[in-house]
Amino acid sequence: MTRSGSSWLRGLSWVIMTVGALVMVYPYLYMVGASFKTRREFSEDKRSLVPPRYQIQERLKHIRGETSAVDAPGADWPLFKNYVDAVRYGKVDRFLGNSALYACVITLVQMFFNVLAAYAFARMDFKGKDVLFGILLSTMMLPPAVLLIPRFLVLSRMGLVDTTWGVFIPSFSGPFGIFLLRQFFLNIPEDLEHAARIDGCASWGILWNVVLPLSKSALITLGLFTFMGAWNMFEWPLVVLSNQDYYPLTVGLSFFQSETRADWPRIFAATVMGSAPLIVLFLAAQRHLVGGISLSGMKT
Amino acid sequence: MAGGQRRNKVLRKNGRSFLYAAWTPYLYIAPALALTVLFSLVSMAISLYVSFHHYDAFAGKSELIGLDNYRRALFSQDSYFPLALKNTTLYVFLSVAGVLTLSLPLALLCNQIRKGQSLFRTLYFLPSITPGVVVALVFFHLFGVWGQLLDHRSTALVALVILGLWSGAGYNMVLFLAGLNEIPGHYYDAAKVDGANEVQQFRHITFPLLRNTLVFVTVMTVIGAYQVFTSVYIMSQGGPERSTEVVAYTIFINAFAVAGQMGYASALAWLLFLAVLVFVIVQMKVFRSRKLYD
Amino acid sequence: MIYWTVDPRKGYGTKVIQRASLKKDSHGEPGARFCGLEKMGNDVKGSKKMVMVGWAMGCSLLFLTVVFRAGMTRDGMDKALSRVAGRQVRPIELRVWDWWSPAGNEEYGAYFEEVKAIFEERNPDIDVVYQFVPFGHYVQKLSTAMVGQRPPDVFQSSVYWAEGFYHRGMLRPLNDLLESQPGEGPTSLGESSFMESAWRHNHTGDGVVYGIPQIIDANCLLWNLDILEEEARKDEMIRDLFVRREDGQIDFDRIRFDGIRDWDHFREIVKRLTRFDERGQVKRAGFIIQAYGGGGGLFSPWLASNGGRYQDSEGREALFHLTEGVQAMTFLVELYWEDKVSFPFRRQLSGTELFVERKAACIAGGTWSGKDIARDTQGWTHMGKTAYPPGPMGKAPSTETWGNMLVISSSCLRVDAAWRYIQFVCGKEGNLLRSKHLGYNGPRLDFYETPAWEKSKEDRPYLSNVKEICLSGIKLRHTEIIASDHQANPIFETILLQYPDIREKKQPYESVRNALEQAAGQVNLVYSRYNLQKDRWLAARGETRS
Repeated sequence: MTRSGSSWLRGLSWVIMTVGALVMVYPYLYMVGASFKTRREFSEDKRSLVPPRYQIQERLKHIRGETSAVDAPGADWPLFKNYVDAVRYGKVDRFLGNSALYACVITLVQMFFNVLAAYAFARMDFKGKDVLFGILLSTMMLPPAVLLIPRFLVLSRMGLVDTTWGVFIPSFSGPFGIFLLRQFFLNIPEDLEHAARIDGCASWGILWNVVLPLSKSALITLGLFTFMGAWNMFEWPLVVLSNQDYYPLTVGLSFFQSETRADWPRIFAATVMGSAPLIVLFLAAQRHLVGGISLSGMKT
Repeated sequence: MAGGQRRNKVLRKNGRSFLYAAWTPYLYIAPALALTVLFSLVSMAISLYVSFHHYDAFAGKSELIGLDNYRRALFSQDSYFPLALKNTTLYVFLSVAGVLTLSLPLALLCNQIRKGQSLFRTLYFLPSITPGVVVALVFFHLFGVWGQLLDHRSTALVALVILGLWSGAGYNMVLFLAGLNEIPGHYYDAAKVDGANEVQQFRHITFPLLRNTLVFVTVMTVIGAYQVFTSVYIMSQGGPERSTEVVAYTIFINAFAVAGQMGYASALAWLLFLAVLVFVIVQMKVFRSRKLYD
Repeated sequence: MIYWTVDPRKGYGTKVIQRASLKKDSHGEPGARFCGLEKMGNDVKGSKKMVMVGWAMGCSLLFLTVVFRAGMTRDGMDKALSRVAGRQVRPIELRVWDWWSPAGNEEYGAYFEEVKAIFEERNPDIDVVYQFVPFGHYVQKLSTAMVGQRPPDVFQSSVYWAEGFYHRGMLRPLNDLLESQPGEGPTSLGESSFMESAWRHNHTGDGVVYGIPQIIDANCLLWNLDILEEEARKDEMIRDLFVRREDGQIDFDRIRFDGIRDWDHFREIVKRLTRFDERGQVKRAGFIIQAYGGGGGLFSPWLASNGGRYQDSEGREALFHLTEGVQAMTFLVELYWEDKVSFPFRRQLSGTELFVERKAACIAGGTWSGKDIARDTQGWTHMGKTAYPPGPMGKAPSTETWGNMLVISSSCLRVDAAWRYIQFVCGKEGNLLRSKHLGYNGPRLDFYETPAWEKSKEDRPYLSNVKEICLSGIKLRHTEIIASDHQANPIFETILLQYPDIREKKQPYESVRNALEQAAGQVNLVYSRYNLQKDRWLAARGETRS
């Protein structure tokens, strides 16, 4: 790595990176700003980040006695009304609860299955181990678009269409996680496990008391990625659910939009509520997430 | 403390004394394997099977029609598949080009910065963790504010590419950064001793040694781009004038919005899979990953 | 037993710390759950542990409150609670599906609540359970539900799908139920109780009835009467559009049903209503024309008013490419490109938004669009509705009408309960409820004689022409709508967007007629595929004719 690059390069890098960071962040600011606008303000002024009735120049105009957005009908719209309405009428709380439920259950179960399988592939010998692992690996490459229809058909045979179980069950399989964890487990020195064996531990005991505590960072990383992947699921719940009460937030948002004369500020309030948990989670755990990318084993 | 008396027998004797029953490993892998086999491999087989039939969810009766669905997809006048494949491939190319011209330089630049690096990594990574639906809804309006990108046939696909680049730039940048981190520092020191400037360092050290990462990022981008769906579904619904009709969207419409075309949609899905497979095989042949140093 | 573990912060294998076991401990302390903690002093360990426990509890509490709102947990809890409360469980559960979702529109919520309350009070043995399914996916979701565990008993079906549902065998014919009930009266559901234009989509050519209409909708032109009134003060032609009272005074709240003579007259009017700013851009549109996603819906009412049809009644061939259609499409493109009466095409454009902001004098709307406009504008209702004026080949103002209907699914086991529900909702009382909550006018003839309707017309003058509009329309297109729109709408889009090129350079189509013919060809493919399939279904059920 060019650690000590010349300073002009470093200066240029700072400038470009800052500009880029603003570009990255701008849509979020837009989203938050739009969520505080009234419907009328939004349809008249889609460009501004700050709702017109709060802008400084509008306030100045109002003070000077000129017509301004502060006097427009509806300017006394309470600040958080869109959020309240989104929950009260848009049932966003239900969508959020569904997203949270799905994400948690899927993460926990998937992690559990993945840990078991990864440990077996990493540490145990059994007939057909390589073949089975190869099979697992090959499924990672299957594009989800191809799997959408048959999974739906399988679930409808099982009678689980339009149920929460139908959303869960196909998502419990995570070959990528198995692959990652196996890589990680392989890198743990075996002496510790030997020591535990000598003390008479069975496999489960080793797993639980030795291997897992050592893999905390990998587990957290994988868990976070799985959680976020499950939270952001869109196509599968769209296909398998028809009862609006079970929709996660992603699907719920897409249907708000298709109503005629969509209430965009309310939709944006819902989107803020939908992405905020992930952002908070991300900021709290970014060390694991961003660092964990390098764990993802690009050594093919 | 020399171990308890266990019922489990020692299985192998390669200097390791693993104490587990012969069936334990299978127990451990069973749930994950069963689910994966059912929902990936068996599902692929089902998809293939359905693609040879005419399938209507309610009327249930599916009739074997052999390759008719495929014929219709490729040759029929009312088939959207050739156009969708063309659109999707164009999208893929633009995405790869965009990623390479955007995330790679960003990673290189970010690497120059010591202090703010983790802050920038965080900020750039934010879009990757936001649900695609949210991003599409916001950009639906932003594209309207910034011009008329979604209104014209020639620019709508570009708008989608921009959206994809915005979402993925941070993720790819972090991948590149990780790859850059793996290049041993002493190579650069040696190069500097020999009097190489930055550009030469890049050409002779950075670029070759990033090869694996580049390949990885390219492949991941291609595989992801072939399946773009959410942004089309939310923002353009295949329009204007079918310029953003992508394969995943056509599959979805035929399978889940129109009734009775699931067989046809399955055939489309398999054709998509073959297209992606061809690409991946080509990539593996061309870029055989090698150990590049020591 | 004592387990060995390693402090990961120091790196693997470099430092080994003895950790107390979970079961029994050499030091007598409970096992620490976090690696490396024992490295710290015991007091630090204790307080840090408290902080972590506090965080964990706080997060899980927040988390649980959120999860409790989830659909699954709520339903589970509702069921458990009602069992605990010993609430009388109604023996019959009637499952009703609809796409009118309370989540999208508060008034639907109020409407369904009242319907359920009144119906359950009169029928104590029935428990009505609603499920709301979005319009765009209704067909597929319904198909899979019918073969799945929990099919609906009664559902609202759009006229877009009803025919297809019937041909697949998903609907129970209603003729026997109709014969067994009174011929007249507020709960009679026979043909004579309804407007003719509502009783078109719900039966086959042979007279098999499979649905009962619950609403009547028609496409219509919406006029912003604020703008018209302002113009009328200077312009005689616009003034004539308003209704004149007996004493000769103009009623600026009501627009005449037959005020617009023909298309040329319409063109003249909207041109006069269009305003441009200094740079020559449209500042106020006379009539909004939308290119994106509208397609057939924009074009077919004009086609109807020109005496044309989108498809034949059997659903075997498209008819919109004939001369009537060419004239209609040409009229629209010329309105946009030559007369420039509309804002430039934008995907994010919403005609309704512009209408409400007084930036459009006339838009293509529907007889249903009254109440939501009133709601969004906090009460502005100064608008008027007319049918589409007759074109050169048309005879009278016309439009397209349809009546979405309630149907009973063929897998319904509680037909009697379902029929009772339909009798309530499609009877006069149900019509009045829909009028009250949603502002929809009903398809029943006796609805228009109720004092409630007269009062609505008084309170909301924009309803004054609605009955005539509904009577004047032709049958909306109804065969394989999604598939045919998927084929035809992009071509309509191209015609609208690329008209100058079509006219001059003959690209991408030689002419409007040529483009329409191509679209019709695509749609005919859809129809022929559908008809083949339909014949197979009917044969499988032992019926031969449609």
